[in-house]
Amino acid sequence: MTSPPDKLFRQGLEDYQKPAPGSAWERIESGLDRKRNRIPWLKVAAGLLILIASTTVILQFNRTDASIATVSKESDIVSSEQLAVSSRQSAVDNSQLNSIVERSRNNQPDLLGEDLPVGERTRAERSRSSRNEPSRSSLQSAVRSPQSAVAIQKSVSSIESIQNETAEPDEKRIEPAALSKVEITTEISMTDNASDSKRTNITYTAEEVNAKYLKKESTGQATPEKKNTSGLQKVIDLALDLKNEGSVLGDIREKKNEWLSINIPSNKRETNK
Amino acid sequence: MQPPGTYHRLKVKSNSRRQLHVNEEQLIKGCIRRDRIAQKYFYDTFSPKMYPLCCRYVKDPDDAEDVLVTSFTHILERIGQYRGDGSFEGWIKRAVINEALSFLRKKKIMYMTTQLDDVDTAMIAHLDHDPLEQEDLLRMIGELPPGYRAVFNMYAIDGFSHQEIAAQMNISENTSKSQLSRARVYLQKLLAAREPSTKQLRHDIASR
Repeated sequence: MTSPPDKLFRQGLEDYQKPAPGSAWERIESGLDRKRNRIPWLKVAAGLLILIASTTVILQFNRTDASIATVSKESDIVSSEQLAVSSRQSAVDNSQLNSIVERSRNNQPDLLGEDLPVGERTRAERSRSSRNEPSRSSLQSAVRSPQSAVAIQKSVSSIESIQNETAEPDEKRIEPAALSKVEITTEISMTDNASDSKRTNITYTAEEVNAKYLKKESTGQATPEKKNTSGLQKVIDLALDLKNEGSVLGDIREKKNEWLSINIPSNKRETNK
Repeated sequence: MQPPGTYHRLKVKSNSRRQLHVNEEQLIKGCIRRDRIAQKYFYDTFSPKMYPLCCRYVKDPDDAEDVLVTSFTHILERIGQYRGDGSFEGWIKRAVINEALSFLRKKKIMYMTTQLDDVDTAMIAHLDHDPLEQEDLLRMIGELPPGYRAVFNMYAIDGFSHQEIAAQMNISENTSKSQLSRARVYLQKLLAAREPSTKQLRHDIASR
């Protein structure tokens, strides 16, 4: 046999019919039912998935918002408390400053005159008031509170720079510089409570004091530009302070000279003078 | 007077369909509506034709049944995709063949080959004294290695070209041709061993 078997097989099997096993239809039916039932479940599952995903996303957003809100509220509360405290302190500070300024006014002739202990006391008070705590607290409140404005920011920066200077030994400080610091602290307390009209008066008095008792050179020295704390600079500062009569060393020298002039009225001292 | 009811109505409908020899379009519409009676009618109409086809491609009867079940389930689910171009039976046939080929691919027995020279003499001896029938032809095809069997089925019986076979089975046309020629040689040897019965079968087929 040489002819290919294709024809025989095609003719024999092309239209060959043979019943499928009886279980086949049952399996097909169950498969169709399963797939038909699977579609709603798929839809339900997809819907649930979308719902869960959306709710989680929304909840997360809400949580972050709530946390931000609570944090901001807390900070507001804290800052308002601090502001209240600082305003109270600044009010106290203002009254103190008022008295100090008045005292300084009153004591100014003493300072120039012969009552040395009173002058020293006022100086000590001024130096204390220059480094007083309320100014720091007001600074802290300004830093913490988001609402306290940019207006405070500038004065804060100036305060900071001045406080850096106040960290230096008090012996080097000159009296008018301390007064300028007093003035700045009052200004800060004013910016905290701008509505208070009394504090504007304080500022005015401080400026008045500034205008009356401060020397231009000394204000120049008190500017925050002097941050160079090298040894040479310190020596130069000391030399400049010695020239200034209002400085601590100048006062000491003055006292010494007075004492010498009273107790030892010699020709040598007179010639030295 | 017959009592009204869904079951009765469906039964009557089903009977009427059977009697009227429901045309192809109605059957397809019924299957698209997922009418179970239409689906059963579809199965009853086409499964006797498609089951031997499955047996031609897949030797094991259980595997052939699996292929039939899977392919019919897919066909009934996607019957709406039939656009009416070409015969409906041809569309079903292609779907079943695709399913059979993918089954062979999954089982990784598509290219499992045996030495074609080693003709199963035991099978020939078994067939020796029985008259050769269509079932014997099916059994002979079943003796071919799966790859050869698929190529022979597709080319010789189902009318695919070598190009189509190469595309379907992801082989080259030359491979398809060589597998076909080897399958032919093997089947010729089997038929030669059964020459008298083969002659009788040829006569029977011709006389039908």
